[in-house]
Amino acid sequence: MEAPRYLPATRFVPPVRQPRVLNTRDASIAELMAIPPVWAVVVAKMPAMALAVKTPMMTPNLGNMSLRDIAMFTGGSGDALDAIDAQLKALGPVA
Amino acid sequence: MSAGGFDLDRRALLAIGAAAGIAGLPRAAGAAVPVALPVSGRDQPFEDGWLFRRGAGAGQEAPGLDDGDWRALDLPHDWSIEDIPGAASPFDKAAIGAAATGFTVGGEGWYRKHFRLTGAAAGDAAALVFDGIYCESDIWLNGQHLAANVAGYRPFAVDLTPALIRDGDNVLAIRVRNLGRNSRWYAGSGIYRRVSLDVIPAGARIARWGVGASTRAITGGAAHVAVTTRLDAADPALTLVTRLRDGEGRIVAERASPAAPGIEQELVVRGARLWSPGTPHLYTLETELRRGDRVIDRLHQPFGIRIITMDADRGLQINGARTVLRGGCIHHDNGLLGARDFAEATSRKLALLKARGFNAIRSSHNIPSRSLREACDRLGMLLIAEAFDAWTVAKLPQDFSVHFRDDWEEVVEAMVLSGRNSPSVFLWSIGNEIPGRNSDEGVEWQWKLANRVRSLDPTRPVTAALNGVIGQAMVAGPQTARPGMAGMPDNASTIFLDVPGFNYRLDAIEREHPAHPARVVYGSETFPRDAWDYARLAERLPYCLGEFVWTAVDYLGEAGVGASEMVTGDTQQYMMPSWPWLVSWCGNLDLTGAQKPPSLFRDVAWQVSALEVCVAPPVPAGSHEFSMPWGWPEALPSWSWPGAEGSQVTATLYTSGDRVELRCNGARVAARSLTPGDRGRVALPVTYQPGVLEALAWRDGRIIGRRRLETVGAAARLRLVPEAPGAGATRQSLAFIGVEVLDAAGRVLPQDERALRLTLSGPAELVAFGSAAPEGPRSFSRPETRSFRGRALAILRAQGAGEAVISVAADGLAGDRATVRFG
Repeated sequence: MEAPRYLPATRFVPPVRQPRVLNTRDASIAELMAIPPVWAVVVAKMPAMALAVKTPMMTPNLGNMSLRDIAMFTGGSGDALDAIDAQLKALGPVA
Repeated sequence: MSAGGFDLDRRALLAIGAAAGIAGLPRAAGAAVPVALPVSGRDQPFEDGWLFRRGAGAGQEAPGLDDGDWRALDLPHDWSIEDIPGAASPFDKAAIGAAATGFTVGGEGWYRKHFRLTGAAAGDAAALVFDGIYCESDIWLNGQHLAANVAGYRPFAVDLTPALIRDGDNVLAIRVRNLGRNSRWYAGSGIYRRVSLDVIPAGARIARWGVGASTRAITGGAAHVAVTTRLDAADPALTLVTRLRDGEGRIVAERASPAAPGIEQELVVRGARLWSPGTPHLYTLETELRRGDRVIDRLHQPFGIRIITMDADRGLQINGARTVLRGGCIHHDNGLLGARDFAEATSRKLALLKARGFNAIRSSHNIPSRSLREACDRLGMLLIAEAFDAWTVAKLPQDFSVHFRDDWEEVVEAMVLSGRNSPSVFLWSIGNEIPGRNSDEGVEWQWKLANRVRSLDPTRPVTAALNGVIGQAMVAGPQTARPGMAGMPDNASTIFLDVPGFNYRLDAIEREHPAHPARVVYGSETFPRDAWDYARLAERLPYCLGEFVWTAVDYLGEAGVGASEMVTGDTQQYMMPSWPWLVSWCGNLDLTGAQKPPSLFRDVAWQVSALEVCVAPPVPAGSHEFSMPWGWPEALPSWSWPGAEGSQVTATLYTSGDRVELRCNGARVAARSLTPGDRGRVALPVTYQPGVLEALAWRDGRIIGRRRLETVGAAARLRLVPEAPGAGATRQSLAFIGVEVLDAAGRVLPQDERALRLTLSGPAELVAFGSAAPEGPRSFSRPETRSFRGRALAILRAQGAGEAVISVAADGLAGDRATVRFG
């Protein structure tokens, strides 16, 4: 029986981000905000998000939270989230 | 929201809730007489004989300062758990930390210690090793500033030599500051962990945390242990001797090598006794630097021989045997003792958890104390050591993110180098729920941290606790990727982690597996209510290693994060408990170590028990119970509900059986079959009638469990229950004594709350007295408290050898008296 080794790498080269279809479960709010046409879809369906994301206590969490994660706190309905997902799917993969 | 539960992390949840506007006895330990210390050797206790003054002040490091009126105490010390001067408790509704720190108060405090080191050789150096000071500290010796530290959980050493007076009195002064909003939980304030003195050679010596040992292979009945040793000012005329001794002190392997700055040796142990949670066999790793026959430096460390592997096909294996992680997250406080890191309190906590089937601890979200590591080694608990709660993006205005860019490497080095020989440590965590981790900068920090850990210790995998989304798919190249992962898609949060930890991502474990078939994960934080689901998932899926419940034990701060309350109206109403909540109330065990209902459920989920039963009182008309996601519906293993006679109550049975039955006073009142969809629990309405409620469970037609609850009578007397007949006689020795309120038949009253008074004589002091009550305010330092659920806990600290007599009294009840032998 041999013990595994977890060896360090040699140097940091930024990993390459892969294009993907955004959705309200797996994409963070920060990712959605970073693409204006995508964020426009969100705000059209969940107007409260436009202000909610600017609150100081929300800001640190934008990169780790999806819309579905926080929907119950911001009044987003399942229907609105499903509608957003449909429109994001229609936009196709984004970088 | 997921089918299995609630996917937000608790801090974010509280923050978002608020953002969205949703309602929701000190003894004089000694005088300032210089203490003469042993003259050579490492790891000499340095906790006794300190002076303390609470409050800010200038010039208090001056050697000539008159400190005659300072309070004498022995470490460990935490001033935030002491009553606020002029008040009757440590808690202040206006405390800047608010609910996060349980409304406790930080501020500034000063410590001084007078000592002599007259016997040390002229060439010797002296260093103090602090296992942790919370939060920011400055250290002077004889008026000379020697060191500053801003990381409150970091072990660090201070070289005293430049300011040491070898032939006279030395005055050590330490300023400690705990200011602003710097912690999301109760941190305590002061020199709350172990302090030791090393008197070591000034020239050639073993480097600080310079020995790293790991089991490389176990083949043919022999264990091959690789040892690397760094020496300061290595002199080739010296010899480095490394050996392992077994539990009886016998040498089982030894190697000698000429001294060099870095030395690699291999020890071969035939017939090795392996370390695992079930059989925590320990050896002593002994490192000696010799000049001929003379030992000039020597170091002893506990060491365990074990090989841990983790892969998606076989899960986590220890020495070739699959082990499911039955883990709990803990914060570092010791309940009624505050942050004071008494080794015996830590060991007690772990022993209580072991008895409940736990085999793993996550030291959330900070470097574990040496006491915790050593207790995990000794008792057999796997341990995740965690470095950070934030990197560069703050969670609180004065948290460690303020210092992260300057000090991250020192923190990582201290954690890894000080802990790498502990067999219990099996994962290094580089962070918890880190804000900004999915950004380009966050991904680069993930790489820097993980890579630094691997360069310090390539024998253990790197993890982090991830909440919410795990980021965009990414691909790393061969120079940057983990071995074997170049060109393979991963996620921003996980790309440089060997073993991602998922916080509250129960549903994601199976869903995300097809896209990442080689990934192994575990629940790094889980809701107590999901114990059954994680247990079954880990049985079924080897790539799910197990879970760490939030939390194993109640802690001070994050007040009410596990609260339940009756509410009226909108079922979506969200509640944020605040003052006078002081305690998290999300633990499986309460602040005194007693089991709570979620622990009973976990007993069943982990097959420690086949059947448990709890009863909830009638729900007022128009109300419903709201439980925080980390909470548990308020219920008790009790059949004493005065005032509810004839009303419907709810008995919830936790069982691994397939059929249950309830009998009240001998008559069958409810029965039901269970399916896998019941997930080990069933709620049965029953009319309350005083007497006896009996629950029974069957599986495949065979009775597997019985539980009996009896209606208790009126309070009649008190009982003291020492947990052990005696304790040691050093100032680190503690005795834990339970207090129970009983009826005439000797049964604990499950809902009793009343004033209790203690008296104590003999060689011991009362260092804490209190209950598990989550609300206050109340003192833990006085000989009076109130029982909660019929119980309280007294903790005595030895003041020398002899017999201490403790008595408890309450108005109208017969008291009790017990003796505890110290020494």
